[in-house]
Amino acid sequence: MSCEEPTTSPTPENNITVVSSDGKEFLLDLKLTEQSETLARLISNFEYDRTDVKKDPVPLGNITSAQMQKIIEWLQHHRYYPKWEQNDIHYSTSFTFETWVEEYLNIPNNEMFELLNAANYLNIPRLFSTICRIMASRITGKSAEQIRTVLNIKTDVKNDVYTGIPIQEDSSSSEDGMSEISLSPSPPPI
Amino acid sequence: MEKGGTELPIVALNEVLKLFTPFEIIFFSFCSKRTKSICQSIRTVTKSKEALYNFSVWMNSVYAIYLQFSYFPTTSTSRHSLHLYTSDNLTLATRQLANYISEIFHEKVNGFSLEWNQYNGKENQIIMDVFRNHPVRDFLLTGDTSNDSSKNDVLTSILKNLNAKETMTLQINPSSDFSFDFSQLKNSLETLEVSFSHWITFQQILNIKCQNLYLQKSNFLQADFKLLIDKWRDGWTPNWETMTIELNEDIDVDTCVEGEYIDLEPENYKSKKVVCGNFPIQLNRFEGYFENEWGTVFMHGYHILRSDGMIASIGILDEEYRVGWFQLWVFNLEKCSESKHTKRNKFWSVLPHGFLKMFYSRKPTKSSWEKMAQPIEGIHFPNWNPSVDTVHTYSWLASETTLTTRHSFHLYTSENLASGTRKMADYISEIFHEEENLFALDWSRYNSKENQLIMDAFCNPVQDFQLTGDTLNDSSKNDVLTSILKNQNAKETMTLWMNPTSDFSFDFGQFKNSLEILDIAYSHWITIQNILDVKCEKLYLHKSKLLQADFKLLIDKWRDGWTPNWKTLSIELNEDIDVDTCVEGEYIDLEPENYKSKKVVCGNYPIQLNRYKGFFDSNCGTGTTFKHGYHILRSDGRIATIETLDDKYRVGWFQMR
Repeated sequence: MSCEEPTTSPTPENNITVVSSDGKEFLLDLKLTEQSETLARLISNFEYDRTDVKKDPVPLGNITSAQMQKIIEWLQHHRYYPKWEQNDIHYSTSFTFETWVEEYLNIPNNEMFELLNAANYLNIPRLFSTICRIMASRITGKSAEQIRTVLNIKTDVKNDVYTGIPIQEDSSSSEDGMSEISLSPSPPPI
Repeated sequence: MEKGGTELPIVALNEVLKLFTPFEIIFFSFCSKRTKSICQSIRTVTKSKEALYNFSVWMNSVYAIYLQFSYFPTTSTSRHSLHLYTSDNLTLATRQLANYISEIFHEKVNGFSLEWNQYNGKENQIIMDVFRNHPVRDFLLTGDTSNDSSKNDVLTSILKNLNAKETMTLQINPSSDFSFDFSQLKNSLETLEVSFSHWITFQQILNIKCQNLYLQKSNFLQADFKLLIDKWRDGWTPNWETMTIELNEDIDVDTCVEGEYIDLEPENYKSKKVVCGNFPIQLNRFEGYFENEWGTVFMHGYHILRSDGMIASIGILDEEYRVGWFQLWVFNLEKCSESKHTKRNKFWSVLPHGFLKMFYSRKPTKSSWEKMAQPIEGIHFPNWNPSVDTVHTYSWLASETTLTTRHSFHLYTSENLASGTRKMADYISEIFHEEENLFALDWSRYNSKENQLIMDAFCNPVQDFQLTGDTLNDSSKNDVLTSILKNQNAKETMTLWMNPTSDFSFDFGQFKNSLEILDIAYSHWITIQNILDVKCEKLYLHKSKLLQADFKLLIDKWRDGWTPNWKTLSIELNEDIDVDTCVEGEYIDLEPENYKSKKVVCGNYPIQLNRYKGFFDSNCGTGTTFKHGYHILRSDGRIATIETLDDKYRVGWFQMR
C-alpha cells in the first residue's frame, strides 16, 4: 500500500518537541503523533493539542536520536494511512511488503531490534507489527542453525556432525526426546 | 543478513511466533534450550495449537520420517509436509519425534496408523514394541495381504498388541482364512470399523465388544442379518450398541422380521413412547429420514420391542440396499448426546430416586479446566447451565409411561476420577441430608488398579450395589472381580449383572453384610454349594447351568433336615422343570380354594406333599398367571413351597414358609 506524502512543515501551533536520550530535539507534527499511542495519550493528558497550553519538550529517555530520526521517517510515510487496527484489511500475515518498507527496514539486526524496542515503547503498532513480520519472514523456511544466525541466538545444544542440525540435550524433556535422533549425511532417494 | 549484537526482544517473540507455522515453531524450538522453553510456554503457541487441525508423524518403509500438519490460520485449511531422514532406528526416531512434537504443543499423541504389509515380520514386531506401551485414541491399520496367508500370524500379533482406546479402523484386507479373536484386544472400544469384512464370522459379530460396529464388504447375506434379529428377539443381547453392516446382497428388511406390525405415523417414527404404547405388538415399521451434508437421506425399517422392554431398531437407507443397520436403544445407560470423541465413563453415583447423576468426561487439558469454576476443590464446572431434557420412563409394573425432566451437568476433575466422584457424591449427600443409596459399577471398563481405586473410594455402606461387566472370555480378570465382590458394602440389595468366565468362583461367605436380595443375571458360574451357603432373604438366579436334578437335590436335602440361609429362591435352570418328578412320596391335591391354606396343609399330616394349582394376577398388566407346585410339610413342622409358573417351565421357585 502506498499513500500520497504531502510535504508539511511543523509550526509551533500544531507541533510538540520531543527530546531523545542523547539530548537532540525533534519538532513533531501533532498529526504524526496520532500513530503513537504513547505520545497521543501524553498529548491528550497534558492538553498539548490546545493552542493556549504551553508545550514543554517531551523527554524520550529510551530512544536515541538515530532511532527517533528513523521513527519520524516511518510516521511521515504513514501520515495519511488509516488508523491502525490489528485485524483490518491493511494487516496481513503474508510476508510481502511494499518496496518502501523493505528499503526502510533493510538495516542490521541490532538496529532492527532497537527500532522494535522503540516502536514498542512509543506504542506504534503498525511499525511494531511490520518489524515482527519482517523478522518472521527472515526465519521462515530456515534451519535451526540459520534461525540462530538471524536472531543471534546463542546455541546451548549440540549439533549433528553431518548436518549441523542441533541435537537437544534438554534434561527437562522426556527420556525418549529428540536427543537420540541423528540425521544421515546423504538421504537415500525415495 | 548481517549478524547483530542483540537478541530479538522477548516482547516481539509473541508476535513473531504467532506468525509461524507449527513447523517453524518446532524448528525455532530446536535452536536452544531457551527457545524450546519459550515455544512450550508462550501463549502464541497455544494460539497456533488452536488453529492446528492435526499433526502427523510417520515413516515409510525406507528411511524417511514424514511430518505433516493441517491447520487453518484463516478460513481455509492448508497442509504442510516435510521429509526428514535418519540413520538411526526409524521406528524409534519416529516415536521420539512424535513425543517431541507432543511436548511442544502440549497435546497427546492421539492416533497411530500402520500400513503393516510394508514391513516384514521383524520390522512389524519392532514397530509394535515401540508403540504398544503408548495408548492412543485412534488406531488405523491398513494393508492388503488377501493373496498371502503366510503373514496372518504377524497380523494377529499386531492386532493383539495394539493399544487403541476409542476407535479402531481396520482397512486391512487379509486372506479369507484369516481369523482373530476380538476378545484379545487390549481395550474395550467405542468404534470398530472393518473395511473388508469377508473374514468376519457370525460368531464374531455375536461376541465383539464395542459401542459402534461398522462392517463393510462382508460376505454375510440377508439370512444372517435376519438370524441376528431373530436371536435378539429370542433374548440375546449383543455387546455393541449399533452395528452397520454391508451385506453381499440387497436387503429387504420387511422379510427380515416376522409377526404382526404397526406402521408408525411419520411424526412418530422416532417416538419411544409410541413404540412402547403399541405393546403387545412388537414390530413398529417406520419410514424416516435425516439430513446430512449431501441432503436428505430416507430410510425405513422396524423398531422392535422385546418382552423385557428393550428396543432395537433395524433398517436400511433407501439408496443403499446392501447396508443394514441394527441399533439398540439403551435406556438404562441414559445415553446423552456428546461430542464424538468424548469418552463416557459408565460410572456413577445415585441418590434416592435417581434424580441426579454425574458423568465425568475425559479429562480436558489443564489450560481449559483452569478457566472453569472450581467450587469444590478438584471439581471443575465448565458452566452453570445444566442441559435439560424430557425423559420418558416406561414402567412395566405400572404399565405406563411417565414423563420427568432430567437436568445434566458435565463436570471435570483434575484428580483421579474415583475420588472426584466420591467427593461430589459426599457433597450432594451433605446438602440434601440424604445418604447415598446405590453404588453401580461397570467394572470391566476399568483395569485392576482403577477398580481398586474405585472400591477404595466407595467402600462405605450403601443400600444397593449393582455390578455390571462382561468378561465371559477373559478369566485373567477374575481376581479383580473377586476383590470387588469381597469389598463391596451393600446392606440390602446386590444386583450382579456381570458375566464372568465359567470357571469363576466366589465364596459368598466373604460378603461383608447379610443381604435382603441377591439377584444374579448370569448364574452359569453358581454351584450347588453356593446355593447351600449363600445368606440372604431372596435369591434370584437367572441363566444358571443347573438342571432339574440339582433342583430336586435341594428339595431332598431340605426334606432331610437341611435349612437354607435364604427364604426364597428363584432359579432359572438349564432345562425345563417338571415339579411332579422333583418330589417323591404320597401327595394330596389341594382344592383350589385351599391352595394357600397353611391350616389345610398341616391338617393333611402325616402326608407331607400337598399338590396345588394356583394363580395370581400380574400387576404388569399381562393378566392372570397360572402356577402349580407343592407345599411340603417337614416333620419338624416347617413348610416349604416349590412351584413353577405355567408359562415359565425353566424357572423354579423354592420358598420357606
